[in-house]
Amino acid sequence: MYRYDEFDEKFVRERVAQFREQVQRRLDGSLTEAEFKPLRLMNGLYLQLHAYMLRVAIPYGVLSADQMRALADIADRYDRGYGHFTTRQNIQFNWPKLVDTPELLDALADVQMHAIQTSGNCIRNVTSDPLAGVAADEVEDPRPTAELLRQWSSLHPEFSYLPRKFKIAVSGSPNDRTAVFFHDVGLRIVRSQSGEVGYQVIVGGGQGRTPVIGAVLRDFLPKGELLGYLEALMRVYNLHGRRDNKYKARIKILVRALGVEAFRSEVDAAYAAAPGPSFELEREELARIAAYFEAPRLPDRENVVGLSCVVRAKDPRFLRWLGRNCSTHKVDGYSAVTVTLKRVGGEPGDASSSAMRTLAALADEYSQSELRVTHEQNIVLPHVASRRLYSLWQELEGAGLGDGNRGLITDIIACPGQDYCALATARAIPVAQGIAASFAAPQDQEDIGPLSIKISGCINACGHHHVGHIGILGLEKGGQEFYQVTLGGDATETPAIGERAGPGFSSSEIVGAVERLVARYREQREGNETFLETYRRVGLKSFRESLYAADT
Amino acid sequence: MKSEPMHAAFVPQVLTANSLRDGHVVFLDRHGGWAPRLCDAAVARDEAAVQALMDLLQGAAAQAVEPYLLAVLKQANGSWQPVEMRERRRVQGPSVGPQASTHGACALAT
Ligand code: SF4
Repeated sequence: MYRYDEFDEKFVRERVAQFREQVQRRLDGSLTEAEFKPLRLMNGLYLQLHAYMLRVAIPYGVLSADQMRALADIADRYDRGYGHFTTRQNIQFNWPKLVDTPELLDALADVQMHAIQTSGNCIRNVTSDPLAGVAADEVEDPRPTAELLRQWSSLHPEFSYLPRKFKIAVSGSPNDRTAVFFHDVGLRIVRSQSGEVGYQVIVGGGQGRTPVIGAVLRDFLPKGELLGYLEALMRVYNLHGRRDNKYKARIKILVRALGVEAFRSEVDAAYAAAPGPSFELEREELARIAAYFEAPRLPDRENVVGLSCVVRAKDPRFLRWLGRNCSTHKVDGYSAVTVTLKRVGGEPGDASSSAMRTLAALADEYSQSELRVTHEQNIVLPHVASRRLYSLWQELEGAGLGDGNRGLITDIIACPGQDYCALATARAIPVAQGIAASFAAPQDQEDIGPLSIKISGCINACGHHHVGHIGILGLEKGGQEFYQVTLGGDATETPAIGERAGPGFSSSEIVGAVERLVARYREQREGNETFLETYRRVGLKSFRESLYAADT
Repeated sequence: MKSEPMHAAFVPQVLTANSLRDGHVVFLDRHGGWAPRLCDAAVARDEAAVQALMDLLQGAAAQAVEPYLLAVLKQANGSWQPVEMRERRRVQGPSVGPQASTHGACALAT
């Protein structure tokens, strides 16, 4: 894993000391809220519906077991015993007290963590593939690039006051697990025809009130040119991005207004005008960083899931988990294991301090002390010897974390919604719980197969509803919650924005609506078709009919 | 007499904020302190009372963040509840998870 150098360490400590003073001055009244608010936001501290909320950065979703334990301790000491993993691979604490925050930030700094760049109009925490360095389909590990970008963007003076927030994702595999087409900039590590490794640059994707699939800006950007090119891109955005209207300030609006061609020419011109690229420097720096991400030395293992353990394990729950939650590892004899934080009856993405400690202990025992956070609000143990999968699963199962539901209908993404979020127009978590309860039977989930339901509590779309196979957007109408359904969204390398199905549903109707959609899929599917495949074949109309059948 | 049309149309208000130190939802009480429960809030039933609340706030503002007036309605059981859905949720606390309805409970109780 990447380790901060002394400079990083010193900087984070200084920042905490600075914030401690600012908090003190706020408490004694020398700072007004208007003066203090931008300072607390710069340190990740929001004010939500019921309390302050601290958003902690987890760079590209990578956590050590010690860091996970520290998060558990923080949850116990400064929060109410739990935390919420977000769709941006971060963790949020829902109940920190302002007076405790400096101490909390110090506790984070002890394990090389912080809450910088989790708010404000800057380049936010860079996200990446939770299977980085592990996935069998990988062209190259995306983490060194993500770390390079983190260092480059951290407190970059030119990019600290952008027109609006800016999100970058880096994917290293043809199969995209980062929603790369839905970021302000998405980078895909690709191989050119001559075999050279570089980047495909995607720009102007995003969700929120204006969902847009990113456009390819450069098909192939050689390594070494990344920072220079991105700097040019950011400069064009900084100059032309609309600062007059918050809703039109994201780069997607600029790219759309100019057209991709014109935007590309602007970037090319800015790139040409910039002082010569620091080609060699960037390559050297990337190589220096990459050394930190060298794969752990995994002892040789037989390439079997310990056949004996499968035989021993007549338990269908284990076999289902094995099929759904375990991914092929680059190294023979190993697997990457996804632990879903989607227990039926639970809150999507929430983990109690005891679950965090269990995961940390299991990471120590089974996965080289490493964990990853996914944008689907799950946790990955990236390096598990396949023959130990059964014993790992038994431990997970004992802690209530053994569900084999990854990618299934109960693996629902939901934002905090109006149970926590000050911006929400409706709740999201209870809808997720209602749907999960309705499809709680494992055989049912298996029969339905891959189906992603994503729920947002307002138009800001933190729950990624636009890219859910079934997307649900919570709104308020006449003083009541009501839910709009979109269909056919896709966050992967075959990106699509869901189509609005029709009028919305009340909170008591929404679960039934999802049940009817699923029933329609089961009637219409051919062979092994997934929900999305069926939807793409038969189209919106048939599903719409199922939704509104009762009205006609 | 409370039957004047202006008063009949007036929606009662309370002053709410988040406490500066811990961020929790609070309501201004009759003594100018911040109370964690809506049932302890000072309810203004006319414009003059709203003005009185604003005066009271002067002394309490330093301990709270972003105070604002909140419209409330008296329920059949005699308790007060915010008019807006969002504000009801804010008063009631999360409806799910370990913290479900642990604060503001008296707002809905008798
Ligand atoms: S989508 Fe809306 S309700 Fe949900 S977390 Fe984002 S801002 Fe809050």
